[in-house]
Amino acid sequence: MKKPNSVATQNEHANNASKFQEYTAENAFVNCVIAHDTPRKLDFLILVIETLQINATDSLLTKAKDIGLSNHFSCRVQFWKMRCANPLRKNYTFTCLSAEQIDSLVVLISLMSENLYPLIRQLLSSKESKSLNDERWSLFTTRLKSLIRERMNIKRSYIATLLSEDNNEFFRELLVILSLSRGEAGANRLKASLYYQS
Amino acid sequence: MINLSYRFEQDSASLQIAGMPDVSNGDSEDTIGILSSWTLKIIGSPLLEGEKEHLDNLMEVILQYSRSYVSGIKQTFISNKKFVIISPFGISHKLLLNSTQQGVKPLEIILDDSELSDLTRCLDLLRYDPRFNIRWDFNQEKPFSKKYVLNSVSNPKNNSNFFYALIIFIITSALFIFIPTNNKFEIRETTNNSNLLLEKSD
Repeated sequence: MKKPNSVATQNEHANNASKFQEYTAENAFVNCVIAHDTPRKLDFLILVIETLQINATDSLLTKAKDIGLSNHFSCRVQFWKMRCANPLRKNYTFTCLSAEQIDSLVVLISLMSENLYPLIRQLLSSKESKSLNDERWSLFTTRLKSLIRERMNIKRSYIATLLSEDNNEFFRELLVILSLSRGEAGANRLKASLYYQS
Repeated sequence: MINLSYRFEQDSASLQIAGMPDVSNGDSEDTIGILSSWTLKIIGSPLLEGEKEHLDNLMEVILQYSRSYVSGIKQTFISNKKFVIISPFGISHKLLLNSTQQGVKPLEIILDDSELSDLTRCLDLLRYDPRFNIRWDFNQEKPFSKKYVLNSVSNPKNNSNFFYALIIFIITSALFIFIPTNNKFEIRETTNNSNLLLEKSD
């Protein structure tokens, strides 16, 4: 009797879908429109990634180059222009993100959240000591709020509320979204949340 | 008969699947086509085990809940056969598992965000693993309709804004009603004009 007992690693099989997963996301997005809050959501997720990792933009651009997404990520300016589709930014450009740009950003966010998962998990876990958790959250929110203050239009009531709130519910939600966006399935999950069925 | 067993591990969750190839379906030696049993260990919770039907129910509920959470919807999900129920529980998530065996009380597990994420990842790894040739009951992630999202997302701020706007409108309207209008000026004007006309006619 043969009884192999192997452990599946995180990425080993993530890119190879099983036979029944051949029905791809392309079919799921027929007759769908981009949700109105897509640029905002993507920008905030990238902002959280930047909070967790210094020079995250460089890592994102390098990753984009590695996986062949260089058209939209040829330089920092192109990347910044995409992020300026977020209407809450100081430099809002009144542009919309294309489906191709959304796909690229989703893939990058998914890859980055995979890399940053140990840090994300530390923040989300309730099993560690409360003082340590509070300290981590304090560092995280301070940095995230400073980035928001730096880049977003603080005259907007939404941003003002985010900066004044102490319960960090929205920031926690963003971290959970990042943690659920890991891997191929996670990327599909995130992408599905950026569209509406028409 | 080849017995196969594969394990998917994420920090706090470990899912082990045992089964065998479905030779009649042309499965290779290392592919599980028939699932015989599974066990799920979540740190701090009892060991869970069952058959494919139970795993299907667990997968359906957890993946639907995670999918909705990413869209900002936090609501209770109940599996088709009501074996598994998951609902928001403060900042955590309550997983309720009903046993199919008689006389066994339902098991309640409180998952924090990190544990939910670990469990979701384990199930994601399983359904995207090419070593499994099993049809799962869970559908591919699809976008929700705009109406469904707007109805499901609880946003008390929107309601309060509308309430404040209504109060401001009523107060402003009331103020305009109580401000007296200058009727005398208009009367004098009309009398002057009529006098002038009378003079002209004379």
